[in-house]
Amino acid sequence: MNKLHLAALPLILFLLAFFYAPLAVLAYYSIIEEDGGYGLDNYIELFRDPAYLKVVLYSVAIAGQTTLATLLLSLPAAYYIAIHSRGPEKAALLVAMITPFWIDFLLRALAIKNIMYLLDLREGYASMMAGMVYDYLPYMFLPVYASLSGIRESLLQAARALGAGPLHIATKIILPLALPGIVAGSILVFLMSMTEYVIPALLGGTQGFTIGTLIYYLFLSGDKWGQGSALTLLITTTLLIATLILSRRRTIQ
Amino acid sequence: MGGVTVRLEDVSKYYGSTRAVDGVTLSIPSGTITTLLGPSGCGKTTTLKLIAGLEEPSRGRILFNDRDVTMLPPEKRNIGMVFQDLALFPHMTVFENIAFGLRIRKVPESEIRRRVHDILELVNLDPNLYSSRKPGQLSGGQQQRVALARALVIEPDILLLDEPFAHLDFKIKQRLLLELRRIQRRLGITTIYVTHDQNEAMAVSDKVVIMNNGRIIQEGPPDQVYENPANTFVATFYGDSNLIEGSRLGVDGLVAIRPEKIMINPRNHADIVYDGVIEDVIFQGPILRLEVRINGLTLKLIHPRGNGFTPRPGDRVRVGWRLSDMKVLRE
Repeated sequence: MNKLHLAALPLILFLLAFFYAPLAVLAYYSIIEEDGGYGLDNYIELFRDPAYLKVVLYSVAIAGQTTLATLLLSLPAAYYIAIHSRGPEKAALLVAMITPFWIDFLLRALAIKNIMYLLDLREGYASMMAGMVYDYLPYMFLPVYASLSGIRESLLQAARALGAGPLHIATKIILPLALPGIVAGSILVFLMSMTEYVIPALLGGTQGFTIGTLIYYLFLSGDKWGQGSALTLLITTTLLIATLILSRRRTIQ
Repeated sequence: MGGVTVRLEDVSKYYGSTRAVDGVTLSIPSGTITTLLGPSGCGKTTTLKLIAGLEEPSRGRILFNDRDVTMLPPEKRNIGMVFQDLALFPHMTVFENIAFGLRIRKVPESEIRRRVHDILELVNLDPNLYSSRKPGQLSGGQQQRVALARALVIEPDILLLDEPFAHLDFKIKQRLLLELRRIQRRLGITTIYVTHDQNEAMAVSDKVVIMNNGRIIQEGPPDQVYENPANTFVATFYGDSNLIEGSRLGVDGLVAIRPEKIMINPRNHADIVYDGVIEDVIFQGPILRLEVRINGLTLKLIHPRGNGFTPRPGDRVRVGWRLSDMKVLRE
C-alpha cells in the first residue's frame, strides 16, 4: 500500500462537504412524504403528473437546440481557424473567440438582456436561446477546434492529389477526423445546458420553465421540498448514468 | 501510364518579396526519374508543388506533354504524390487509404479490391496481412510502402515524391530506393524525386537537377554532373571537392579536384605532384579519409584501405593527380 491516495483526500473532502453530503440530505428529503412518514410518494408523483414530463421534455428540446446551434456556429469557424489561418491571424482569431468567456457569464447574460431590449425583444424564447448559445459556445468550440487542429495540411493536399474535390474532402477526411471533438463537445453542452437555471430564469420569461427553474420553484416558491429533491436526484442520476455509458464507449473506441 | 513529358517554362513563385522559385525552365523526359536536389529552402519542394498544382505559379507555364496545365487544380492533373510526412489518412485502414483515389474515380468495387491487392504486392506488402491495419499500426518503412501504393494505384501520369525517405533508417532507405527504381522501371512512369541528400539523388536518378536560391544551377545525368561540376556550389554540395586557387597551378579562377582523384605516392601516373604531411586519418570501412597538408593548403583524400598501406598522422607522403581530373570552375 502506498500513501499517495492521501493526495486526493483534500478535494474529496471538499466535494463531500459541498456536493455529496447535500445530495444525501436531498435523498433523505425525497423520501419524506406529506404526512411525515417515509415512502416513494414524491417519485410516484413525478411520473403521475404529466406536467413534470412536459418540463423535462421541454428542457431536452432546449438542450438539443443549444447543442445544435453551438455546433453549427463552431464547426465552420473552428475549421477555418485550425486549418486555413496561420501566424498572427490565427492567434488573433483564437484570442477573439476566447476573450468573451473571461467575463463572468451572469454579467454577459444581463448584457444580452439589455441588448435584446434595445432590439425591442423582451424575455422569451429568442432571448433565452441567444443566452444559452452565448454561454455554451466555448464548450463546443474548444473540443471541435482541438480535433480539427490535429489535421495536417498535407492530408488535405494528399486527398486533392488523389482527385478529391471539396465535398469529398469535407465528408471523407475532415468530418471523420473532427468527430471525436464533435461528440465530446455535444455531450458537454447537452448535459450542462439541460440543467441550466440562470439563463432561462433571467432571459426565458414565460418560455423559461425548464428543469432548473422548476426545481427552483419547487423549493423556494412552491414549498414542495420532497418533490424538488426527488426531481433533482432523478435528473442527476440519469445524467450520471448517461455520462458513464458515453465515456465508457469512448474509452473502448 | 508513362509517356508524359513535363515542361516548365520560365516558372517563378514569389511569396511577397521572397523568390522561392525564380525563372525555372526545365524539361523532364518521359519515363525517367528526375531528381530535384538542393539544400533546404532552395525551391525544390515548391517546384514540385507547382508541378502538382498545389501551388500556383506567379509567372510562367507548366506543360504535361503539350497540354498547358498551369491553371489546372491538382485533382484534375492525374498525378500520384508521396508527401514528406506521407500524409496517410489516420482514420482509414491501409485498404481504404489505397482505395480512396479509386473510389473517387468511381471504379467498381470488385476492380478496386483487385487493384489494391495487386499494388500491395508490387510494393512488397502482404495484402492479407496489412489491408485491414491502420497506418498507426505500421512501421515507418511499411507506411512508406502504403503511401507509394496509394499514389501509384490510380495509374497517374506523373509520380511526384517529396523527400519520402527522409525520416527512415539508412538501411531501410537503401532498400526502398532500390525498390523504387525497380517499380519505376517496371511501370515506366515519369517520376520526379525531391531530396536534399546527394547520395539518394545519385542512387536513384536518370537525371539530376541541382537547385539553389530558387534557380537551377546545373542539370544532367548524375555521373556527368559529378565529373563536370559547373561551379563551386555543385562541386562542394554534390559530392565533395578540394578547391584550389588557380594561380597556384597556373590557371585562372578556381580549380576543383575530387578527393578520390588524388593519388598517394603516384609513380608516373600523375601530372602534378606535391610533397606533404598527413594531418588526419579517418577509418571508414573499405576506405580511409585522409587530410594531407601541402605547402599552406590541406587536401581531402579518399584512399582504399589495405595493400599494406597504413598511414599515420605525421607521415610524409607524396600526392599527385592528373591534369584531366582537375576542373576549372566558372565561379
